[in-house]
Amino acid sequence: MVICKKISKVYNGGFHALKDINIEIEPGEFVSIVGQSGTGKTTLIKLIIAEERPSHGSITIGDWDITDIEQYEIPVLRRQIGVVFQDFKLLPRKTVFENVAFALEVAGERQDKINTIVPQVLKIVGLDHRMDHFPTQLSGGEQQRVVVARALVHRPKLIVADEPTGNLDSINTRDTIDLLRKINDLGTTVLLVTHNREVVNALKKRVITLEHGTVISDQKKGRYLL
Amino acid sequence: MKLIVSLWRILKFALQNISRNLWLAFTTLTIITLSLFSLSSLYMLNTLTNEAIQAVKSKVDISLYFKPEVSREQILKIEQDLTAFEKVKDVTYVSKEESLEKLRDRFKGDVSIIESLSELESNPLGDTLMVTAKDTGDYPDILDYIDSQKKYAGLIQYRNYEDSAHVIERITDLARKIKKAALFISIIFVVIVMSVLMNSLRVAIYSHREEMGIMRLVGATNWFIRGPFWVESILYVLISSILTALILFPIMTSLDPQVALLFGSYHFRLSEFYSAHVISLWLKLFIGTSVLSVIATSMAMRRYLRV
Repeated sequence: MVICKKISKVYNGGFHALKDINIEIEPGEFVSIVGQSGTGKTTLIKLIIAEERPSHGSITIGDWDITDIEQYEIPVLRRQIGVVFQDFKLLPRKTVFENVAFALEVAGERQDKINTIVPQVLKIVGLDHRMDHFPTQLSGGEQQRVVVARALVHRPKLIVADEPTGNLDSINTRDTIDLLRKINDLGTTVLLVTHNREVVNALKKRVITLEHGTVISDQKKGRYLL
Repeated sequence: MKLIVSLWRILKFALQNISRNLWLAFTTLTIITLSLFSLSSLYMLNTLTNEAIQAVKSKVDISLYFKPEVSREQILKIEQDLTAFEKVKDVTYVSKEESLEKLRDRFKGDVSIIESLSELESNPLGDTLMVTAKDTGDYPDILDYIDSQKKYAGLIQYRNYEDSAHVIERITDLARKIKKAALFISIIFVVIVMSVLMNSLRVAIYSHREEMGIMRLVGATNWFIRGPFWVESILYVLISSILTALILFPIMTSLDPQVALLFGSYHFRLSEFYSAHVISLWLKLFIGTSVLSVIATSMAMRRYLRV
């Protein structure tokens, strides 16, 4: 599903965020990428969603080599990946329904299909009764569930979650992770970036550990090492 | 089909942006309306200045006073000649009887002159041709033409142009200077107004900067993100230009009496001119400002779309 071959990312001033990373993620896998702050976890996510480009190496998503992806192809790539952000990134002037629907609207989906799918997905994340509310009227946990619904609504083969529990309390953290696990059980590949030890240990899934921009461990049923 | 759906969504998002940001929409609308009102007022002021110059110029003419013995037929032949000359706008024939009548009328309070005129057995005045040029700068050429016509020699007793030549020269010079100054002031004013307008749109875009980044991350293309903002800015300009056109109607009408006093017998009414030109003025304002606002919006958005 995701193949990173010898990728490095060097920022201005010669700072190496990632050095010679080799990662291969199979379709349907649930992979946690862990590591302390500044080890390159978020940089790796940015490379996968083409927010940044690698300095060296290649990245393939599905059968698509996105290493030198053209600017006009980026929206097409992002419509195939669901992204969950730590800071939610919801559109503040759109309702819950409109935020989730937006991911379909950008892809030109028909309105009747949107009107059918969006309430179903909101029901899955338990927010069908909050469809007409604005993000500011929701709690942090509810906002994160809207983000998961938005990431899910266009049925992507890959969901990338960058510290999705970073701004949540323990109950909401558990709910969000349970949701990601359910999505994974339905066949979607999940790439979870976190430094939450409890979450990683409870998952008992594959864990890739990064340190100083390099992979120091890759365990099939791993635990939080650091 | 997808294109129509996308265009419909762009329009829907634009209307949502306005309706869910009423305060910002009101502020932006006010600034754009004031800017367009200022530009329209400047245009009307320029028109008023040009008309005022035209009114003064219309008072200037060359009067050719013919000797009393010159026949009416000879004068009418000259009138035809002069009318055919390319730089002549109009030639008016005033008979010696009319001239005498005008003289009597002019000096009706002066008993001695009226009595002297009554003493005369015949009309001492000759017929007159009043020649108006297409442009005040053409008068010397018309005079040269008259002088060059040998058939006119000995027929003209007196012409008044030399008396008013100095005045014409000053009016022409003043008109040129006023036009230059008006152009200079207009350019500065337009630049100021346009920067105010562009900055108000930039502020509106700035308040949406985070949303644009989010839209990019969710997979929106740049034109799908830009579209609603373009439509929004065009809607602002559309509403503002209509408001400006409507506001100017009563203002122009209320200024009519003062303008009529200023122009006297020269017929010019601001409200009439405005009514006749309101559509073209509105179109110019709307199209020009819309193009400018789309450019300003695109420039302001560029940096927020690099996600």
